[in-house]
Order: sequence, then structure tokens, then C-alpha cells
Amino acid sequence: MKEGFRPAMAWLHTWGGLVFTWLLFAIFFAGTLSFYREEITLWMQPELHRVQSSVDQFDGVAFALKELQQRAPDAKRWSINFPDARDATISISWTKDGRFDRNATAVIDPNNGAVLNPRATLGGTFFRSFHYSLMAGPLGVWIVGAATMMMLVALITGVIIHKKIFKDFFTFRPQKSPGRSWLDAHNVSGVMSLPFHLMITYTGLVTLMFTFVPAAATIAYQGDQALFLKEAFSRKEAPAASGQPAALTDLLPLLIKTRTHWHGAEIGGVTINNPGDTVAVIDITRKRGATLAARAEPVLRFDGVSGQQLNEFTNDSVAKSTYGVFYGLHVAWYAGFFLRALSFVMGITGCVMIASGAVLWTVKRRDKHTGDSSATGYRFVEAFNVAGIAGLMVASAIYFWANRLLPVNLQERIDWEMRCLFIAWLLTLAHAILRDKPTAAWRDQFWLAGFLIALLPVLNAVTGGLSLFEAMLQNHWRLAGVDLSTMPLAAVLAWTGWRIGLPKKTTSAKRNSKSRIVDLEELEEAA
Amino acid sequence: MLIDTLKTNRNLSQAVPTLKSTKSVSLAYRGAVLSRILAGVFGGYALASVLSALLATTLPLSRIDAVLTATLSAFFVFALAVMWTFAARTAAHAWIGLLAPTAAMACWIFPPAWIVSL
Repeated sequence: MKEGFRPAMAWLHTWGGLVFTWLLFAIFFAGTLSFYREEITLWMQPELHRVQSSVDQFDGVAFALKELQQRAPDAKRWSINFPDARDATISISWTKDGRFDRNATAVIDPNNGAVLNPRATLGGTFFRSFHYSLMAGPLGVWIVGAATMMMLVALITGVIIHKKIFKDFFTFRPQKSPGRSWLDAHNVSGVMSLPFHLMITYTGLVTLMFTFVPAAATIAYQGDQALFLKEAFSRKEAPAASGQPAALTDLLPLLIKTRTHWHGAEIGGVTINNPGDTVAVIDITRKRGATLAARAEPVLRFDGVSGQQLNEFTNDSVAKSTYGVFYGLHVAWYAGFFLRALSFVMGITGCVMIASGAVLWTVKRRDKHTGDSSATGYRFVEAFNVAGIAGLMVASAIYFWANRLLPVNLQERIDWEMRCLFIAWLLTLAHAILRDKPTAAWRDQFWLAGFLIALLPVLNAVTGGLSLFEAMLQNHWRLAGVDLSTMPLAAVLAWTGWRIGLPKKTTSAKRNSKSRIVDLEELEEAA
Repeated sequence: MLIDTLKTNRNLSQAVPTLKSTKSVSLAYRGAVLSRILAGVFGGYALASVLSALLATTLPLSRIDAVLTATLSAFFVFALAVMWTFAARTAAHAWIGLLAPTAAMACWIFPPAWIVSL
């Protein structure tokens, strides 16, 4: 703690940031990959690589209904998800008691009705779940929440301690002393994408805000959680079944009518409540991501027997739209090709900002403390830096490899894919602790990650996937994109490993150059 | 990851005294820092929660809109509260600055019997 507002904020930024660095890096990294969740999932299910896009969204609807009728004639609810630009298949699910069950789902080729059997994997969804729960249930969600809150504080204090924020847009001095160039890297990556970081951090908290701060809802609704959820998310309750059988109306005309009603908007899915009953009700939902706001897609409801339109549910409040926009900004369902790519790049700058902040902390202290009692402490921080940053890349690459190399019929296959990732991560930590020099550990792991990632297109081609070459020939760019992105990623990792391994420059330049940036340490000393 | 975090904490506690390696850091200083951390985390959360509950019940909006607006603003209140804890002159100031408004707003929402009887 330091006297004075700015030094106090510098202290908070440094120590608060440090405590959560590795956690924040992992959260940011997994979140960045989640922007391409569906593409990653597709890559990880080579059984689906050769499904052709259907001509019309509704081509497979008859197959889907036939399959639902066969598998679950007495279900309480059927759901059909239509193909879209990011997923060529039609997927169905059903439920008897209202709860989702992984086994009560099927994936269908909309062109010929073939039931597809993709391998069991979480695919890209693993990264999304890890991103907000660390795969550790409610406790994990709260840990992520605390880290995100600290991130918000670190961003605000980071701006406060940063006098020359606009000049730093253009300041990067890789040839200066290591401390200086790491500080520059931290500043440049932090300042350039500050609006994105503030947005994604705040909206991240918003996605789970009723979990994190339930006070307002609890007090205003006097503890009536169900009523609150109903009003907040316009939960559309379906009438109870009568028990009298009646034939379901033809779905296709309703779908076409709805599409016309919404001026040609894509349809996301349809839910059929009480199928085969006299009070069957059909809800058709617009595809998510048509607008910025999420969780507010309009729904058109039809009588399931007569085919009469019953209601249209639309969003009716400014506060709900605001919430929906914040939520939508975080999950980026609205993003097309360019915005999605931009979000991904911004996410990477976030990773770089956090990682360089962590490295900066150790580089600044490493030389001062060689040989004294705290040297072991710094040694461990450095090892955690290596495993938390480079090690996570290695472990994530291993996850992709495990996806293709584990037997398709393995019991608990989904768990084994994740176990491979976590075991690899632990091994990178052991390696970082045992390796004699930190720079060597950095280099080993960056190079290993780069190597594993560079070979992913080869792995894809030889383990049953549609190869990069074929995918490009067939204009299957969502799939080819995953293979193509491995090359720049591997190159950057290889370069970073090479750069870190270079011998240090003499640091005499440090005192000669008159810094125009507020140096945290100078601030500390001035105080 | 949790283990990572715990490890950091341990390293932090070793590293704090050597931040300025020439001076040693007194126990009182460490206590004050701990006190501020607790104030920021728990006091800040309490302030943000109570303010959001107050807004949710008093904003001139429909109930659901008031709840959403209040909850959306809670995170900035929390962030500012954490910053206040570390900017305040002493740890005691930090606690008072958080708890006094929290208590006042809590009384507004749930007036204790002795206030109602006045």
C-alpha cells in the first residue's frame, strides 16, 4: 500500500492483477477459442465433415419429424434445430420430463435423412464451459466471477495509473531493456484493445449477473425465483396435455409462413409441446444472432392441431434489450465472418496483455533477487508463468490430438479427452519447475505447442477428417479455416520461443532513455 | 487452477516484504493490507448488493426493468468500492466508508422497528 491515489491504484493493479494472472489468462484463452466453438466442434467430429449444406433450411424437416415420431412418440416436447451457415446438420432432441438429456438427441443429414453418429466429444464447448466454470461446477463459476471482477478493477486502475495513454498507442521498444519492452508490450496490447477488454470483462459479469448479485431480484420479488425468471426471460409456458390424441398439423407451411412474417429471417428452431395431443402447441423461434441482443429472439406460437397462429412473443422493454445487448456482445452470436475474426484477434491481444503483465512482474524482480531468500519464491512464480501460459497452449493442443487418437468407442470418451488435457497441463508444470533455466522452459514449451499445432492439419487428414486440400476444393471454409489458422498460430509460438531464448541485451540503455511512461516501479519509489 | 491461485498467494506473502528489499514491513502494515482486502471483497460486495436491492425497489420502472437496471449497475459499484478501499487514508476509513452507506441503505429497505416507531 502506498500513499497517494495513483500509487495506491498502481499497487492494487500490480498485486490484484498478479494474484489472478494465470487464472485470467486461462479464462481469456478459453474464451477466445469459444468464438469459434462451432467450428472447433465440427473439426473434432470428422464424421460430420462430409455433410453437404442443404439448399433450403427446411429440407430435412420431414426426416426430423419421422425420427422424433419413431424414437419418442410419447414425449412431452420435441425440439428441432435447423441447419445454418455454421452447422449443416439438423439436430433433434426430445424430453419426457422437461429436462435435457444428452442421450435423447440425434443428428441428421438434412439431404437424405441419414442418422449420423459423430464421436462423443465436447468439442469447442469444452473451452466455453472451462471459460466460465473451470469445469469445477458452481465453485468454479464463483472463482471465475472473482477473477473477472478483479480484471475489471485492474482495467480501471490500469487506465488511472497510465498517464500517457494515447502516446502509448505508438510506443513499442523491443530492443530496449527486457523490463522496458515487456512493459511496452503490456501497454500496447492493453491500450490498443482497451474498449474490447472493458466490454468483454463487464459483459462477462453480466452473463451470470443473477448468480453473482442476486440481491436485487431476491428483494424485489420477495424470493419468488420462478416468477422472476418468468418475467425476465419471458418463459413461454405451454398448456398441459389433454390426453386426447389428435394428429399434428403439417409443420412446413407454418415454417414458411413464419419466415415470411419475419421478412425472410432465418429460423433457429422449433419446439413442439404435447405432440400428438389435442392441445399441441408449436413455438417457432427466430435464429439467434439476427440482432445484437441475445436471449430475446421473437417466438411465433401456433396451435399444433389447427395450425392457427396463437401469439407472437417479442421483447417489450428497454432494460431487457440493454441486458440482451450486453449478453449478445459477450457471446457474439451476431458476429459474421469479419466481426468474429476481429473478436478472436482482440481476444488474443487480451491474452498477450495478461501474459506480458505476468512476465513483466517476474522480469522486474528476477535480477534484483538472485541469491537472496526470496529467490525460490520468484522461481516458482516463473514456473507457474511458464505452465500457465505456454503450458496451457501445449495442453490445449493435446486436447485436439486426444480427440483424434482416442478410440471412438472408448468408455467415458468425453472425460478422457479432458483428462488428457489436464494431465498434459500438470506435466508442463512439472517440466517448468524441473527445467534448470526459466528461459529454456519457456522455449521448450512454446516450441512443443507450436509443433503440435502445426501438425493438426496432418492429423486431421490421416484420421478420417476432410483434409485441408479437399475442404478448400469443396469451399468448406469453416472447416478449412481451423486447419489454416494453425499455421500462423504455430509460427507465432515458434517465434516467441525463439525470441525468449535469445541472450539478454545489456541493460545500460534503461537509465539513458528518458521514459515518458509512468513506470510502476518509479511510482512506487517516488511515493 | 485453484491450486495455482493458492500457490500465488503463498508466493505473494513471501514477496510482499521484499517489494522494497531494504526496508522490512511491519506486522501492522500487513494487518492493514489484509483488513483492506477483506473490506474490498466483503464490504464492497455488501455495498453493491444493498445498493442494487435499493434501486430495484425504488426506481420508477416496472419491477423487472428496475431489477435488471439495478443488477447491471452493481459491478461498477463493486469495482469503485474496491478502488475506494485501497485509496482511503487508513483501513478504518475504508471500512467506515463502505459500511456506513451499506447500513443506511439496508435500513431504508428493511426499516428496523425502532425507526418505524419514530
